[in-house]
Amino acid sequence: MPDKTTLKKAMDALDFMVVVDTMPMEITGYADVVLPECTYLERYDDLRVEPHRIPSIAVRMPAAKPKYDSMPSWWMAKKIADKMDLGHYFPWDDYSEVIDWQLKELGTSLEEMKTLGVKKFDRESGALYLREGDDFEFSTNTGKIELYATDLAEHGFDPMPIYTAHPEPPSGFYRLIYGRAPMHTFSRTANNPNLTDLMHENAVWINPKVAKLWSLKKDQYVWLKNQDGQVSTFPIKVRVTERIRWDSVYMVHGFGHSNKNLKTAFGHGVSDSELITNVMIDPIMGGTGMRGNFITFITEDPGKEAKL
Amino acid sequence: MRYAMAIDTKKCVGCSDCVVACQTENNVPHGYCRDWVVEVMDGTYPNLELEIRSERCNHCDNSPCVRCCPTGASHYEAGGIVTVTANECIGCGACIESCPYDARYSHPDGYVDKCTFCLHRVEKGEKPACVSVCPTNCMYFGDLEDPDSDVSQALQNRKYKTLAPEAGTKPQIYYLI
Amino acid sequence: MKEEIFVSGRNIPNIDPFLHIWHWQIPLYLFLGGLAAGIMFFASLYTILGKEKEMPTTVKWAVFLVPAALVLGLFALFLDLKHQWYFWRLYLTVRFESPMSWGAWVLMLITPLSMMWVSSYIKELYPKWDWKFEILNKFEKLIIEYRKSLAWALLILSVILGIYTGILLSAFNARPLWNTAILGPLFLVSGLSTGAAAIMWMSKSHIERSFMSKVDLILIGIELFFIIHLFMGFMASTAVQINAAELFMGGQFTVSFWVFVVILGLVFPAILEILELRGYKIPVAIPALLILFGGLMFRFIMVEAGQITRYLY
Repeated sequence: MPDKTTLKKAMDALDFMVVVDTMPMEITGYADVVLPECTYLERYDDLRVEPHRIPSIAVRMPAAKPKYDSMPSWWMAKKIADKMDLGHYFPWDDYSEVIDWQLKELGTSLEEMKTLGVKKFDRESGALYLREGDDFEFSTNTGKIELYATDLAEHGFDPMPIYTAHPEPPSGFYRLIYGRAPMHTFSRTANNPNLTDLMHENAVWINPKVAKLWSLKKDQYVWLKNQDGQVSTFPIKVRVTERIRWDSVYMVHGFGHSNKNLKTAFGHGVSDSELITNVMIDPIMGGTGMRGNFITFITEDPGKEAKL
Repeated sequence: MRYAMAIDTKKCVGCSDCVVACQTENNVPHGYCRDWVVEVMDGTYPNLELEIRSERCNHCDNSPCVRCCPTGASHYEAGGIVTVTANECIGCGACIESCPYDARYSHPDGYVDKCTFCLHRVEKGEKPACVSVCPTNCMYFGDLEDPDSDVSQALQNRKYKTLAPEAGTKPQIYYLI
Repeated sequence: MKEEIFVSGRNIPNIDPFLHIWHWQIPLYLFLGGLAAGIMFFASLYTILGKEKEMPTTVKWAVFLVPAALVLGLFALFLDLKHQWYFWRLYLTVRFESPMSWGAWVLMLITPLSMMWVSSYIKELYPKWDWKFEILNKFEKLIIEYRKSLAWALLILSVILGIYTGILLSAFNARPLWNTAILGPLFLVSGLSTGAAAIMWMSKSHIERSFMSKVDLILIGIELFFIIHLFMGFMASTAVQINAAELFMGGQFTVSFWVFVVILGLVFPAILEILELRGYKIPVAIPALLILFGGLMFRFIMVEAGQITRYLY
């Protein structure tokens, strides 16, 4: 999560926090209560009903028994309800009963779905594509496809996109680009031993021109400081590569965990979210933009003076 | 019969699912691996060319590891698959030294371990674990002598290369380029 | 710019980033094997030539080192094995294509034969020695009677052993530094030279010493020629072999190789030997020790550097 300071302030203001998750992550450490959930391979989940080109329903079914003390989330909800004397809202023992009832309403059953996995249906909602001569209106003011958005004009926004210059890095700073590595999905997998073997820390990608300018060598560790003076908690390895432009640096998201309970992930690499203190918001649709942060390099341990 | 593998470097995204699949399928000890992924990047920004390869034992036709083994623990199985019999291996390390691909390692239990093309699965008619999990289906396995096999089909219409053919090992992992 | 990385985080102990599966055991084993081969070669050669009287140290006393060196060498090899308690597997099969198998079998033959050789001279060293059992006395007589035949067998075996110490490495085409046919003869000559140095050091006879000194000088000359030849071969070869040679020509092994092996281990002792032959008083221990040290260093460097050289990446 970007802007960690604000986030932490918000969390500190909470009276009570419960974390339900399949894997521990940074936020798990802030929880008052942790409810470990079993993975999707160990539980029933709600039906997936897709009205797409070929309508289908799919059921997620357990392939293995839950490990350790982990439980499906329906079990947690039911037990909490029992404690709160709300048990009558859950008139079943196992969630598979609910799914079975739902499936029977749809004209199949859990038993049948166990053999099928996914059940396909014929389309009943008409043709998939518009045919020539069809009468059709789009849900716009004009009923047509709008290149000039009359809706936006009504609300006082630019009806046609107008180029707005985005902020450029100040001298000595580089745009921080973040992304993902294919072997890690989200920051939580950084604590998975198998996946850590594949990649145990992130690196900051630096164009050879920039590396030369700063005399940075491959595999050297540096600290990063952003435009707001935020310095990374841990150092990060330098990777000199042509795969990044000379005005930007890149790093994989999901590293630099500072919670010591994340035994495998603790202290490896730098957290990009830590350095994202500027979150820009699109005034029209509210989307966030977090690539407007700029970093510079610190080659000497910034914590050294504090330690001395 | 000649088992071989073709790997499409244009389709591979380097996710390393093959590595984890192998580690779990074959109980590879933590910190070791029988297959791995190599990225080769060439060029200058913005004109770059990237090749991603999943690499493993090449099950060479002329395997230096089989030749160098003093006990016969390293040997060819049917279809040219190179394997090590653990209780014949003395752990001298000659085969590790002899492999131009560094595809072998010394197992913590002492013997030398390596990719077996998942012989135990192949014998049952299944594909090797790495091939079966690949999310982009970039790996093809099968019998080179059977023109209808996945691997023969994959090699038919594409340009391909092998790794370090100059080492004279006649490697049997083909990279589609 | 060309950049290449292992994205899987491949980091296998002793293999990544550089191969280092063989530590000190194998170079020590190669050194002791070469030394034993050297001493044994001269002992059997001068026995066959009938020079027992003129060369007593060569034929009789230095050979006492041979079984000790071989047993120590075999023990070092045993320590190198990672699956040690299966070592007997070596002796269930003969693999003609595997140098390791050749070595194991040659050592299996040469070790007991060299022990027999030594046992036949024990009574000359310790006149009061008693074998205690009549059968052993008879056996000793038998060895003494057939000493010449034994010498022929040991002569051939010691050459095989000496060459083997080099071929063990040169058989690995995966390691460009080792993959050259000159390594067998080079290791043989180096082994003979260390053997000659050991004999020289032990000998009390001036004639024998100066004779071995002359032999050693020739061997050093051949060895230097082979080393130059080795690098000429590399420089005229494929990219990987040129890279291998560059480790010694400006690379990380330049100083250790040229200073310790070539200058201190070959050239300097050769100069000392020449000076001694010209009549200068130089303790024989100095050149002898330097040659032995150079031989040991040579094997350590070759094993260490060879493992770094490779085809890919």
